[in-house]
Amino acid sequence: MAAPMEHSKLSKAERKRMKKHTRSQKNLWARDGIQTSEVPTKILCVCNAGLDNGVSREEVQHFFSSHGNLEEVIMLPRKPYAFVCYTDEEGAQQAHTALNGVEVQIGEDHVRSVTFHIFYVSKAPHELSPSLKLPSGLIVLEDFIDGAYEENLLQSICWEESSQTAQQKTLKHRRVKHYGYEFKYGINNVDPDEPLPQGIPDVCKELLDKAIGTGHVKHFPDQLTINEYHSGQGIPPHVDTPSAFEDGLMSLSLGSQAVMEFHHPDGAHLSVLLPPRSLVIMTGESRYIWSHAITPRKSDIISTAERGLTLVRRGTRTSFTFRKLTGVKPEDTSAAEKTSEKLPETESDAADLEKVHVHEVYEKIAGHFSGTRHTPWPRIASFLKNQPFGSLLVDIGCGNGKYFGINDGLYEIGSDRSANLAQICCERGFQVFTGDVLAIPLRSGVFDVCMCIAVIHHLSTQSRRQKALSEILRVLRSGGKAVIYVWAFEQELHKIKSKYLKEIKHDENNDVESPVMVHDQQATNDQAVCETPKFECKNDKSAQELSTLCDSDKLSSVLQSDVPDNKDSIISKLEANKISDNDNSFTEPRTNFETDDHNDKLSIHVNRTKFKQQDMLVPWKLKNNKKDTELMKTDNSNTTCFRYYHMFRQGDLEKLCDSCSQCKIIENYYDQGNWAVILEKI
Amino acid sequence: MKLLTHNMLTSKIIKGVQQGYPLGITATKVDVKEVDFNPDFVSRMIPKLDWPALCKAAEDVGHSAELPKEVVPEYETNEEFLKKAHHVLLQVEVIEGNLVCPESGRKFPVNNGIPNMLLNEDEV
Repeated sequence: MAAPMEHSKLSKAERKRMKKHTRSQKNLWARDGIQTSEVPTKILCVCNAGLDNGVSREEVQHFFSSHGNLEEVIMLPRKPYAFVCYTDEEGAQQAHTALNGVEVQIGEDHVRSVTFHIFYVSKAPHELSPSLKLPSGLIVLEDFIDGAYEENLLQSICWEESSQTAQQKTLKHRRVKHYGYEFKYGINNVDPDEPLPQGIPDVCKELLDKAIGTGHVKHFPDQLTINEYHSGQGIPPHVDTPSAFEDGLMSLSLGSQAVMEFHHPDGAHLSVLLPPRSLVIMTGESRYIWSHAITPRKSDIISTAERGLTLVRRGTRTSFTFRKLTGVKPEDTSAAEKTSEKLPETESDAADLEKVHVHEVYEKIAGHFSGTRHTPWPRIASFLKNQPFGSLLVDIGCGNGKYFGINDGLYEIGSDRSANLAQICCERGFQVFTGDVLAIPLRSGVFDVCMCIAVIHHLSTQSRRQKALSEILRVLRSGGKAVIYVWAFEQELHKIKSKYLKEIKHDENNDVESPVMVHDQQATNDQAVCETPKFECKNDKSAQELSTLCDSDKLSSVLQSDVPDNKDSIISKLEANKISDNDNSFTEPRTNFETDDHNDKLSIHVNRTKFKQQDMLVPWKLKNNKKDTELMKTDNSNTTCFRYYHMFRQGDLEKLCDSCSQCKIIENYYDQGNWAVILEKI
Repeated sequence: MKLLTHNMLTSKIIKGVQQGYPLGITATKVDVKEVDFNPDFVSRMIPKLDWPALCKAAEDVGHSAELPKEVVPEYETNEEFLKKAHHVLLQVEVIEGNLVCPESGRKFPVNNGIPNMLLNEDEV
C-alpha cells in the first residue's frame, strides 16, 4: 500500500507543477501574444524571472550565462518573464534542461524563491517584434536610398569632437546636430526667428525631392536634426511639438535598424521596424496622437520569412529627421497656456476664462468663422422643417444665422454673445440681438422652439451648463421643443471617424464645430487603428441610436468612455517607467508639452485629432481675411486664437438634462462628432 | 429690430428687476421695410404677443396711429386688423436708439438694428 501512496504524492506535486507550467504558457499567449514552441529555438521565455517578479537582469544573467553562449537578456517592464537569447539552439536547450521547473533563490539576500517555467519562443511578444500593422498615418518606405547615398550622407556629417554649439550637442543618450533651426530641448521648441547659419545640406536635396514626390508630405522641410544612437541608446516616448512643426515628419534611418515603439493614448502599442536606408513618414494620427520612442536595447528581435525569429544586433544608427516649421513662435503657445491654464474653481474664474477664451475669440474670428459656416447640418435642418407653421423660434448662439430661413413659416430670433457675429447675422436680414445664454433677455414660457447649437460646451463649469439649460427651458412654452448640440469627446465611434477627424481640406460641411485646418492630414488615416478597446455603451437609448447609426450591435471605439481625463499623462508615466526599467538612467526631457502632468491644466488641442481631455483649448488659426486683418492690426494679437471647450462624453448631455426637472428627452443621438438632444419642456 | 422681436425682449435678467417689461424705446432711427403680407402667419403670432406692450412700442416709435388698442375678436378672419398688425409687427424696424428698462432705467443700445442685451458682471 505504501508504494502507490508515494507515487500518487509525487505525481500530485508533479501535476501541480505541470498545471502551473501550462497556465504560464497559456497566459503568455493570451496576454502578450508570445507563442511557445516544443521544438527548441534560440530564445527562451523564462516565466517568474521578470521585473514584475523582482528579478533583475543581472540575476537572470547569473543563472543563464553558464549554460551556453548568452547573447542577450531582455527584460520588459511590468512583465513576469524575461527573454534569454542564446547564439545557438544548443545553449538554449541546455539551459532549458537545467533550469526548467527549478526553484531558485532570488533577491539581495537570496530570501525569496521562485520557480522558473521556461519555454522556447517561436513568436515574439508584440512589444518586441515589429508589427505588420502601422499606426494610422504612418508610412515606412524601405530601401528609400541606396548604399552609396547612405555612405555619402554619413560622410557629410562633420561631428566636431567635444563641440557644444547651437548646431551640435551631446545629449545624455545620443549626439545631435541641427540644421536650419536649432531644436531647443529646454523648451522643446524651435524659434522661427533664429535660423541657424547652415540650412539643410544640399546633399539631402535628392532624397527630399523624392520624398515630396511620394505625395505623403506637403511641405518641403526647413529643419533637420541628425541623431546618432549607439547600440543600447534610445529616445523616450514623445510627440514632436504639435505647434512647432507641420504634419508630415520624416526620418531616415542610416547604418543600423531600429524598432520604433508607437503608443496610442488608449494603450495601443505597435512596434515598427525601421531598416537601414528606410524613410519613415509620420502624418496624421501617427504624428499627433501616437507617441514614438526607441527603447534603449542592444539588439532587436526580428522575425523574417527566411530565418524565422532572429536577434539582430543594433549598430550605430544615424537618423536624419526632417521637419517643416509652422512658424508659430514658442511664446505664442506658451502665452496661450499662461493666460488661463487651469480649469476654473470659482464663478469669477469661469467668467474670466470664457471672456478670454470664448467671447473675445469669437469676436476676433467672427468674419473668418462665419466664412466657414455655410451648410446646415441635415438633422438640424430636418428638425426645423418639421416645426409647425407660425412657430416662434429663438436660436441661442445663432452665429451668422445659418439655420435661419430653412423653414419660412417660422418667426426666428437669434441671439449671439459676439457682436461681430450678430452683425453678420443681421446683415443677412435676420432678427438678432447680442445676449448671453446664462441670462437670456426673453420673456418666459413663450417660445415654441429653442435651438442651442455648439454653445453649452463653451461653458466651463457644470453649474453654468445647468444654468444655460434652465434658461433655455425658461423661455420655452410648455410643450415647446429645444434642440441642443455639443461637441463630443468621442470623435470616433465604431471606427467611424467624425467629419471633424476626417476633414481633409474643406470645412464647409463640418459646421457644428469645425475649427479650420491647421494641419492638412493625409487620407491614409483611413487605415484601421489597431487594438481598439471595446466601447461600453452605458446609455441604452444612445446605444440603440448608435447601433442603428453604425449598423452593428457592438460598439467599439478608439476612445474609451471611462478613461481618465489625463490618460495620456498616465501613459507617459508608464512610458517613463518602461524606460527606466530598461535602462538605468534615461531622463532626457520629453518633447511633448501636451502630456505635461497637470490634472487641472488646460492643454491645447491639436486640430483634426482626437481629444485628449474633456476640457481643452482649441486653436483657431486666423486666415488673412480682410476684416480679421483689420481687427488684428488694432489689437496686435497672435494669429492663432484658442477657444475653450468642455467636450461632452457619451451620456453627459443626457445627465445634464436629467438634472433639470422641467424637461423630458424626446430624442438623443450622436451626429458627426456631436452629442445631441431634442427636449420637450414639461 | 422688428417690434415683434421687441415684444419678446425683457430686462428681467438684471439683478433686482421684477418684471423688466415692456422695454421702452427711444429711437433715433426707425425704418419701414416692405414685408410680404401673410395673414395666416400674422394670426399665428397674435396669441404669443403681449398686445399692450406692442401698442406701447408702436407709440414709442411713432407708428401707433392705426393699431387697435386691443386684439379684436375673430381676428383670424379680420384682414384689416391683421394688415395693421403685420405692419407694426414686421415692417417697422428700430435701427438706432435705446431700449429702456421700465424699472431700473438701464439702457440697452440698439445699433444697426441690433439690441445689445449683454449685462455687466455686476448687473447679473
